[in-house]
Amino acid sequence: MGEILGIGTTHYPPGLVPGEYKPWPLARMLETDPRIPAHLKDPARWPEPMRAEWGHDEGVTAFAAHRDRVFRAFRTLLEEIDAFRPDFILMWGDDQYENFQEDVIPPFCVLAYETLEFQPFKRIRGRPNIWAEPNDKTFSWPGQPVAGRYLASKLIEAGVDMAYAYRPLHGDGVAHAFANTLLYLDMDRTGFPYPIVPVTVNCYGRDVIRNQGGGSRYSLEEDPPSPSPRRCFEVGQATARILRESPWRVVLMASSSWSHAFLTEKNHFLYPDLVADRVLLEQLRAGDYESWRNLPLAQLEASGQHEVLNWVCLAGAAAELGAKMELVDWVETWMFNAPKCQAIFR
Amino acid sequence: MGEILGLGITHYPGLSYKGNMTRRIKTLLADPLLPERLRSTENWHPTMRAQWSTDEGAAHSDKHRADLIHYFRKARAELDAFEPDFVLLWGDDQYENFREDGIPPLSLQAYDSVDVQPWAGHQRGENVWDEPADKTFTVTGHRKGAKHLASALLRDGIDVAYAYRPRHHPLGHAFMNSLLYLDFDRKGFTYPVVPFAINAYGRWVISAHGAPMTPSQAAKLTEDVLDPPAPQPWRCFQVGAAVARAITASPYRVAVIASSSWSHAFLVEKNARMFPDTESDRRYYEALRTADWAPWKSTTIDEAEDRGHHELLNWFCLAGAMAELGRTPDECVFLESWISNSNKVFAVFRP
Repeated sequence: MGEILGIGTTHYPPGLVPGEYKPWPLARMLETDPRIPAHLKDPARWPEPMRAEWGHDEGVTAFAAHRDRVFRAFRTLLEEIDAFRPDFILMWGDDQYENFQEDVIPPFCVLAYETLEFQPFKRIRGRPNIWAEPNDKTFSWPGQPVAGRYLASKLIEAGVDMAYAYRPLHGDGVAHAFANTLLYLDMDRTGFPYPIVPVTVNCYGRDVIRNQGGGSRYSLEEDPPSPSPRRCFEVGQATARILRESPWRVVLMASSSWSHAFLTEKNHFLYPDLVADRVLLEQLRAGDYESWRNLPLAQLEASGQHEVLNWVCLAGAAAELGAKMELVDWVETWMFNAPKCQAIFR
Repeated sequence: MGEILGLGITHYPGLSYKGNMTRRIKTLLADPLLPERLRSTENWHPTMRAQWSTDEGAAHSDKHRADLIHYFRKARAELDAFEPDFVLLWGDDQYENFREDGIPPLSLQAYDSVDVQPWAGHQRGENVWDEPADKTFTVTGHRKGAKHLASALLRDGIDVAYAYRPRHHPLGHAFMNSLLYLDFDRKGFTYPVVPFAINAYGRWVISAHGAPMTPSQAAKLTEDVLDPPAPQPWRCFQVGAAVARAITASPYRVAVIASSSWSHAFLVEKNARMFPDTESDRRYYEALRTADWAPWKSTTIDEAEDRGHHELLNWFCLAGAMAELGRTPDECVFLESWISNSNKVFAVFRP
């Protein structure tokens, strides 16, 4: 009989780079992104809380405070994981045109790798990282291929059309959603021994190839959509049922920030849809998982909440298990692309 | 409002090559792990013995080949009469395009076009058309139609993968053979093609590279090396129904074609991998013929694998589509063959 702990967190890329480099997307987008109207590139025209973050140093001070809170929450999550002593961690994360490209885009895929090897700092454009580690450093984490095959098998038997893989396809080993999360969970580099089973979710759907999983558009041709929130919820439910009946102690983890500014057209790609995020947060606080199950995909996309699909899988699992959310921290931001929710589901 | 023609065919590799299509029986007879009783034709099923006859199956092979060609010509005539915008082909991928770096249970190939050299590197001998080893076929896809289907299926809760270009192989033999046979007279095949790959080999797709096995080869595989299973047959039935709904709601005229032989001898462990499960084939054929979908929509993967019905998953998709449309076959035929690895079925479901 398995035991399950749920965790929601983030894999926020700018956190990897020292603040003085202004690693948040907006810093670059103000210079280069034609989607942002010229008049809105003037901070004087921004909403008041956003101008407050901009401050007198273009956000450097506010970013430090923002990151400190997020990192504090990571330490809390690590304590919870250590106390739980999982046999492995199943992590739902998105693949932004990294491992999966034109030669196959699965809605979901269990990565049943022996080992996860990756070079995360190759993605930070030559800037240093906050640990002052070499930029060509290769990280190696244990996978759990037996559990990965088991999970894929049981999901397929249950009618979920789950893809699986034994080794990477493209990219540098594992998508940043998984890599960054691991880097942050081992923030103090004391070692993080828990094997990982990544499960990819095609959160970027209509834009995954067209935008190569980002904000810039490389083609006019829209791709097929993401799996629906309802389907993600069902996959989370099925995953929880299967692992509850397994012999393992498992952390089910969803990793992503919520509304992303660079995906939120209604806010001119300047800031995230915090209004929509707060609604989602209140629903989780209230244990109202049914509302998450019924989220329309178009609504999520309009709010730049594409990556929340990872959390919808977790919400499905929590609903199946009757788990309640304990919020570790909810860190809002206007300037730094996306608010971060970090939470435990018992 | 879309229109659908349903066809069931085979992509039986033996038809591509000259010579006796029953030669695998000799390989089996030479296998040390073949049960002793099966070494004597006296212990064979009477039909099997009659087909093997005194000429090592040569006459049966010739007749079977002629029948297959005849029914392929009929299938082509149906296709030409229907004039589809594109052809959707359900076929299996036997460790061809999909390998260790990703096995999707279901995948729609939304290609623009691919170039295929079906005879390059082949060891089976001369092809029946005497085409050179570097003969290249350009297969045109229908990217827009494939994407329409992928989108509709994803919205319908089917977790289908899609691709715009091949990964390891331009076009698996299930698809290419089907096209070669539908153009048996080499008058050209101009209909755009949307391959829909089904992971029919499931537990054996990577572990055995989806390859035919003798009893000795199969004995080397242990349970712990097997892969996750194929999608459930009942799930494939649901997928087919969703495809029918998606096409019906589209502007396209589509021929949906399931391509595979039925029970495969080399997959029927209970028959020492020597002959197919003809009794099961007959039962499913009769259900298909009468549009009795109850067995088709309730079959489990364990039951299908016991019968060597791995590749029948392609036909489960077709069955689901035809059930969704309320169709009964307008024509169908069962070509019984105990010694050429598999029985073959052709079916036509006109709009």
